[in-house]
Amino acid sequence: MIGVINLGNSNLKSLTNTLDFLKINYKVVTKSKELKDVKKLILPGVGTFGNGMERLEKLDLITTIIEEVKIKEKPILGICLGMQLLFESSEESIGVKGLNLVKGKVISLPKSNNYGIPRIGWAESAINSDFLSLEKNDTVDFYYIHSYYVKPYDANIISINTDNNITASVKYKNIYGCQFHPEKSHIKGLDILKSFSD
Amino acid sequence: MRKRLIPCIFLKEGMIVRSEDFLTHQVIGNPINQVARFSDWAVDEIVYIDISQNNEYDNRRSDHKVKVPNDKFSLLSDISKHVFVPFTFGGGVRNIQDIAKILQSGADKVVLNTGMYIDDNLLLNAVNIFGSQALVACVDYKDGFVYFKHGKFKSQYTVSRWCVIIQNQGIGEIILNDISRDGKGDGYDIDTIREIVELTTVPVVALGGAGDYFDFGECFNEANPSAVAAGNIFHFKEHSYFYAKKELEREGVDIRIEHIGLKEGIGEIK
Repeated sequence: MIGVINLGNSNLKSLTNTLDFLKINYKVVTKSKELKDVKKLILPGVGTFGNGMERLEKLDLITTIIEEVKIKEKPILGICLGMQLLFESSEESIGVKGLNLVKGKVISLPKSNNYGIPRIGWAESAINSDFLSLEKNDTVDFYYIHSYYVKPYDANIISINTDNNITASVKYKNIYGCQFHPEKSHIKGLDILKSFSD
Repeated sequence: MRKRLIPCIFLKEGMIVRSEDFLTHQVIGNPINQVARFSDWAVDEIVYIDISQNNEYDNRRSDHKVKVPNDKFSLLSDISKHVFVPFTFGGGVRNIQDIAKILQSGADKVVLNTGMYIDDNLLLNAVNIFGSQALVACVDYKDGFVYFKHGKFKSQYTVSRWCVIIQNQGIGEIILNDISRDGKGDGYDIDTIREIVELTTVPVVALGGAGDYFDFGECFNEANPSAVAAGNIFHFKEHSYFYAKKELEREGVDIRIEHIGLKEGIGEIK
């Protein structure tokens, strides 16, 4: 059973529609106890870094997430803002502390002629190291929609890169993060969710 | 970042309609059948705009095999179950509750239009709550001026002035819809699209006027929007999305090609 953490004003239904379609067992969780009862966690989310952390704080989930992931080594998949929340802090919401499960910061996207901001659309993404269903050296198109991206201190944990050297995904121990939206990236994205759930 | 090609579907009282001049709306199909087709095609994104001017849904027609729900939100909720690509929904959005309901029903982005004109604070408040990435403006215009209320009310805003205002308030994306080209098939309004692309930093989506596949390439090459959208062409021409992408690829536009088999028997896109 996978616990999908409900961050409130997000596109939660997009993700649960996809999990339903894939026949993956999940439940939407908002309580500490529910989080402890599931085997794996997905932290989805859109919106701002500050709002996301505020919501986790209101639900009183921060300590539990850290315990379950860091100490009990429960696999977690952060998607978009959900992945950013796994880091220390973000330029988007100065002064707000993140979950600090992965060392590094969330920073503004560099300006580029290649995209507008928010950076919206499909982008070619290079797989540097195996990531769930994806194999090293492959390139795949994924759907992105964001204005910030993560910069881990240890570049070795970056498993996928996209345009302008933007971090597309990280893998650190039992922690997985995708900046793109697997639930919105058609077959290749759905494969990632399937692989995480297996 | 790839350029996007977006089918845009207009709904009226629960059915898909073909639109011309914002006035004529010919019923052409059932939205649930159509969305499953688009999802099989692995389109880049799907935009639905509900142009109903009242809340009466009349889709209990017996000649459609799939029953269509009787209100906008349950219809949206049903459609979203079939969509594994980005999905944008709009029409009649007037307040924060409308936006929240649309997102909760399974859309990824919400289209704002007249609501931003009626309520000066709607966009600012929405950006605060949902973030820019969830908010798309549809800007309907004619002869350089922005129109609201289904293209019936001419405002004092020029297209460029309105686009700058909503960009400053945090809109995430702008769909430019040239009313006079709606349903005409004469090609996109290159000059206005180019002007807004150069003026703003947010992604711009061109809508209105696509008549054949060459119009997409022309628009990308001459005006450089992030995406082009079209309605009628994808309903009336068989396998049109596939051929449109093929043509864009041939013209060297950086688009996404999905190497998957299509259920309708065209085979792989290569």
